[in-house]
Amino acid sequence: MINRRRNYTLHFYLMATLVAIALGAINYLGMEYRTRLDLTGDHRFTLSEGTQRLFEKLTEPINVVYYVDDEPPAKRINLERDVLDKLDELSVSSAGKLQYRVERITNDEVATRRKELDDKGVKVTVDVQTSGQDERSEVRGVQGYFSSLEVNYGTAEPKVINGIVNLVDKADESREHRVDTLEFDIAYTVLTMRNETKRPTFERLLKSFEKPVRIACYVTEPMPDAHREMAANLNKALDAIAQTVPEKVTYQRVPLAPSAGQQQKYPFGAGYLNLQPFDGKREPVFDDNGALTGVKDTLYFAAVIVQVKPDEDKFGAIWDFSEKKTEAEIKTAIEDNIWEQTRPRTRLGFVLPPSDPRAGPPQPGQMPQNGHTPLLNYIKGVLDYDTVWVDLKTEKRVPRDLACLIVMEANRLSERELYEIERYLNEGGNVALLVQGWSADIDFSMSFTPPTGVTIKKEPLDPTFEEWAKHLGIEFGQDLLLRPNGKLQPYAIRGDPRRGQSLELVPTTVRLAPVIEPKDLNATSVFTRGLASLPLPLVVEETVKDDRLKELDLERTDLITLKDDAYKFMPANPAMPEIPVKFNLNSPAEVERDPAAKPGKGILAQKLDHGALVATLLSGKFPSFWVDEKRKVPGWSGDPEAEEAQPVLNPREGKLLVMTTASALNVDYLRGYPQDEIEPVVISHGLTFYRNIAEAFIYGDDLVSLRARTGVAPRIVGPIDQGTKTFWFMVCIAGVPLILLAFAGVRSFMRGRDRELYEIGIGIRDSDK
Amino acid sequence: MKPIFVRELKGYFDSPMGFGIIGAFVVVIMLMSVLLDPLGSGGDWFDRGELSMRTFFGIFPWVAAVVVPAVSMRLWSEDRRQATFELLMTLPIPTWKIALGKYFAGLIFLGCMLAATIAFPLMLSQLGSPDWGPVAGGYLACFLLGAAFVAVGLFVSGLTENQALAFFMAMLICLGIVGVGEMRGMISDMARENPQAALIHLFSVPLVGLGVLAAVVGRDKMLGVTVVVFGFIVNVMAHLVGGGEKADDAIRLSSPAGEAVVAALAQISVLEHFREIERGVVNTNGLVFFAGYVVLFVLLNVWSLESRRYS
Repeated sequence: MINRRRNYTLHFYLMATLVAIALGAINYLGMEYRTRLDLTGDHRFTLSEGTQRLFEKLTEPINVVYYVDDEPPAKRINLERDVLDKLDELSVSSAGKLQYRVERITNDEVATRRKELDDKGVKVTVDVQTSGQDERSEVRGVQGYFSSLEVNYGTAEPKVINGIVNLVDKADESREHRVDTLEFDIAYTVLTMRNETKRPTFERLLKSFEKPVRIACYVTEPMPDAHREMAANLNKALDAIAQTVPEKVTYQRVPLAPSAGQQQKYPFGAGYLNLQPFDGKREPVFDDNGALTGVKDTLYFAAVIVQVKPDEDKFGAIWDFSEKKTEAEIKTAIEDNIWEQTRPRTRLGFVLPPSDPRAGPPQPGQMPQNGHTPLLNYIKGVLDYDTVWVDLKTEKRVPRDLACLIVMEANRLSERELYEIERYLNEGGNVALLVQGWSADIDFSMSFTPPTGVTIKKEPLDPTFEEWAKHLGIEFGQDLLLRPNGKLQPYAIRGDPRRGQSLELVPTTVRLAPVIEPKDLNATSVFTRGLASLPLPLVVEETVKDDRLKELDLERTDLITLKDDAYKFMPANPAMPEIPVKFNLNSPAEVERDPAAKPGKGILAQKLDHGALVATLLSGKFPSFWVDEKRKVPGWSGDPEAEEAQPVLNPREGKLLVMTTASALNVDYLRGYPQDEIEPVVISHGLTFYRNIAEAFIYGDDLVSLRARTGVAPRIVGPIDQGTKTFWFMVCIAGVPLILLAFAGVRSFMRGRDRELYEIGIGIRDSDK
Repeated sequence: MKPIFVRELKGYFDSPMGFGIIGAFVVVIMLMSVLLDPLGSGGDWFDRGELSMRTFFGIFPWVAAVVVPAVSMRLWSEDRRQATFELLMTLPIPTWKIALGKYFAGLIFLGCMLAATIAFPLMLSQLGSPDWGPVAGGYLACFLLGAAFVAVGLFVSGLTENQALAFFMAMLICLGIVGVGEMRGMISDMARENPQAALIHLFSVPLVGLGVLAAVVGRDKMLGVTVVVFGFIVNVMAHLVGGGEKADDAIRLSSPAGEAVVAALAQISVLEHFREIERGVVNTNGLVFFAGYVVLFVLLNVWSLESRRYS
């Protein structure tokens, strides 16, 4: 018996082992040859075709390093797991082309590794904790933690994606880099790295210059002992550079005495340069009697000034070589400087409205000075694009080497300018037209009395522009759009300085600028990436006629639609429209919430019955308004001597983005915004907007086909009142159990009755009757 | 097989117990996923505002680990209690057919339990436009996980005639399966720090399980105790060896070996496959895994019953 049992036990183990091996093998095969079905509506767990194509084209692996805080905030406890899951998914989906590793940073080592991380570009991600529901939520605290990806591809300089968060609450949906956008972020980064211009050898670079590069070296002689080796290596490095292609380098060494000042003559011209010393010392000066007579500053210079284009008044300078001591390091630093000055940059063209009168009289040939100018300067500094002011009154043609042309306040274009822009579009150009429906002067800072309202002004649409837009199926609404989440809070003044009271700025609540929410954005458009929470001052609605687009064979992509809670403003006095400072979009006395109702007395705003489209993208071969309509084109001065419109030969596919506010990118309109938020919020969003446009146009279909989802899960539509909540609680929790209870009760009753009838039937029990 | 299946299925609904289990399941899971919102927003499901069943599917493995054993506990134990077990085993039907008949009855009952949560998707459809893909995936994942748990329960039910004991044993195993899955992050960290020790753990922990099986199923206490002790010693050794080679805490870099062990852990983790399907991604890998799980436990059940013929 025992033997039989033991035999059976051994047989059992043998079989169990065989089954385990078989199951292991089947699982392994399942893992190796797995096919997957992504059931999500937008296939969010499948690599987009664009990303797949990109990965297929890559010749080298993508190496990703995830820098993550060892102790993230409690809210982000699953951050690392979520990011690694996503990276794992990408790694599998890319068939191993993407490899990753994780580097955890503990609190102890933050201080010691700070410089290394800074050098890599790894920055701390910040969560702002707030309390309160409205936009003036009280800031309770700021939590910083590391969550950045370093992307390495080929020999390109590694790029870092900072601020990666997982979706924990609603506020996270407006963050630019999230776990659900990682596919796009990584693919896009690799795309840009792959497209980066390959740097030629220094010799080839020098040979490519038309005129010799001018290099001036200002160096103190004698140099103190501590820097003598560096000075000697600097000389050697510059000699080597001058000898690389002697006819393409003009090198001048300017020795300076230790007493030399900062102002020094430029050896290749008449001007002076203000040099910056890299070191120096301060010594007291005594007279013969030993009395202190002053202080003598000794400045040490080792500065290299590079002028790559002798015709232009632009210089590159390296002021300090103290960190780069060897000849090779110094030579590389100078070569890098020359490359940075010459490498090709993307050019963005801007058509600007005339100068703001408050900025003073415009100088001939100078870029107009208005609220758009600061952002243009930021773009140059931050986004590394060449920004080109296209003055169509003087240039008379849109330069064809632009990545895109951005037209601010397009409704003010002259017919001739519009004609030229259209020709650019016909030739395959990319144009962003920003139309300004309303304007307002909201700068109250010079006012001494609290304003009662903001006077707004309807900006006229040029009739030809309006007609041209209609020709493309686009029409612009008249009503100013408002929203309860609107921002733009000009400061009212409290106090009167004439009476000795202090001047105090009090934020008011004019909701002039509806804020874009994630739900408003087209989830798959590169144009709208990172734009959630951008205020859109003075926005109007646009409509696009699909039947007209069909006629013209143009494709349409709606980019931004203010959904659910957009209101049209109805001024009390249409002749002098003014938005009261105290205007409250939640007040039934001022707002009609029923879109179909006739607004009563005192009503200043009415809810729209549809989402309001404010930005759309048309693409395809654009027809010519002038040629098709057989219209004459006026001369540049608008004179009546009109000329024949010229058809564009071989028209190509262009892209036209139409947005119904230009003031979103006009810093003047955001003057009422809290100063400490202008730069991080307004400017950064403005830059993001420009960057999105530029990059979507530069990388064209490659980038557009990458997924750029905003990653927003479907949300409950509309407000939920307590009654609805309770109803659904009851249905969910008690609905089915009650039905089951009732069913069981009926069944029990029927069974009891059946049993009774049966017992009566076989005579166990008497009938009641 | 069909008469067994029909008999078992009727058994569920003949008594109020079946209705009670479904009702209790619905009340508990709905309370936890709609009213309490376990994802931690602090409010209820409505406050989260997300039109999905993530909370429901998130809590399901834990609820199922308790409720499904209650479904499966009676599959064999009831026959033992009513003394129909011997009758069944002497019928001219192969044991596997009887086991499958009972298993499918449990499966259909599980389907009824899931169907009883229809109010949640109904609510989603009324409150907006949800993405139905993850909802469908989530239900499929719940069904597959529940199917695995029914198989576990079937196996445990065959080991004892005491229904309460069968319930507790199955519940402990199911909770263990879910718990290990939830601790995957921690286990993965351990694997990244010391892949060798993790590998030894990976293979020696099942040894302990095999020892228990030997003792309970094979009724060979000597062999069972030997295997358990051996497995335990190997685990302790791995732990001690692992402690000496722990990587620097300051920077823990992942190594290929560590990542391979983590991948292996992910492959054998029930919850990992559950989560994958639950979010709306159905892959053959996950389906094969759950099918394997079911096959393994049904076979174990058949063999454990067969062993009784010889005891």
